[in-house]
Amino acid sequence: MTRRLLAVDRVVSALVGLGLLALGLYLLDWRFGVVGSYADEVRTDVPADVAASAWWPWAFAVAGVLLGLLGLYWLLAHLRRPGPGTRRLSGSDQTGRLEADLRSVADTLANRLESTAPVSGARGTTRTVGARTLLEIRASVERSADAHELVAATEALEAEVAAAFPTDQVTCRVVIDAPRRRRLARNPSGVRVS
Amino acid sequence: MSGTTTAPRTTSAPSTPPRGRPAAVTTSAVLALLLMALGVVSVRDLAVSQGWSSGSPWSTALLDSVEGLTASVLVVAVAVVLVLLGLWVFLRALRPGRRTHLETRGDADLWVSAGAVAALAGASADRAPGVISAEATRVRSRSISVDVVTHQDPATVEAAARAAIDTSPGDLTAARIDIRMKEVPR
Repeated sequence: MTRRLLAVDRVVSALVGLGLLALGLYLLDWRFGVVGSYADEVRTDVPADVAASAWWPWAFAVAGVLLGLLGLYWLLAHLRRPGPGTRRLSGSDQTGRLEADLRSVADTLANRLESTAPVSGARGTTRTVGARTLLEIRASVERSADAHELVAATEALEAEVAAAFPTDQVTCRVVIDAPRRRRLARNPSGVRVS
Repeated sequence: MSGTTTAPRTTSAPSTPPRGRPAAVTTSAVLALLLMALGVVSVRDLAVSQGWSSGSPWSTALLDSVEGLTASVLVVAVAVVLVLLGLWVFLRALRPGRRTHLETRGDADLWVSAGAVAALAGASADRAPGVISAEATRVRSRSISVDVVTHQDPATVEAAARAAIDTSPGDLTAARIDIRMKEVPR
């Protein structure tokens, strides 16, 4: 999910919220007549005439299908892998471009973290934060883990990234979640302590 | 937790904390599904109006149901629901995603969820001498409670469990870890 998509989500949600609020206030004003004066009864003659016309079902269907496709596109846009895929390195000049494939770097870092730290299910994503590229590694901690090992592995990983990108603003972050499965059975031994 | 002061983050790592998905995303997913539903209804109405399928168009049925509507109590009830729903949707649209992880002390750009800290604390206490079982029961972002069951002297076992927790996770994050002792007869 990109920043722009999130902005679209926010703006559209806010507008829909305001729209619902306005409709609710309008209906309340219809009842109590504080601001305006309205007809007592809703007349739908004009829209009913339109709906009865021959072209209306076709126009409605075309607009509906377009809006439906827009909704589908909007929904699917949330599934897209976020973050930048590559980053231009400072070694680039007129003779050639030098780019790092950030996603494979992130995946490699995730594998590396799994082998050096007491974590499982590590996966890497990329993010842009200001001018910096952040390689974010998410993993679940092992129940028997030692916190110091986590810190040491993270610092080692950061040092490796700093060595690999000495002049480029690429850093890594490790995000640790709870163990994925709490336990296999609630009480596998059958012994109850009360 | 020991009284170690938080070391300032000396690296130039960005300090934007990891956040969960903002509520606006859920609202958007619902809106997108509604748009798709509108598309299905419009095609159904076309099929019905052209005689390809039996039934009556839902769009005209909607107009018929609104015809002659007066500002009744039901309309007021609907209006109140709309106002509340609109406010809720609007406020959710502005709200940032929830912070999902705790910042760790030290220089590493390492973030740990409260659940992970609780699991580490529970496992540490569970390995302490005299402990029958230990489990983190209350997990909040700033405080975690670990329930420790023992049939020995609670004060001694609590000290052992505290020492184990201070070793790991120790002062990994600023979250406070409380121990609640439960003594059971032998």
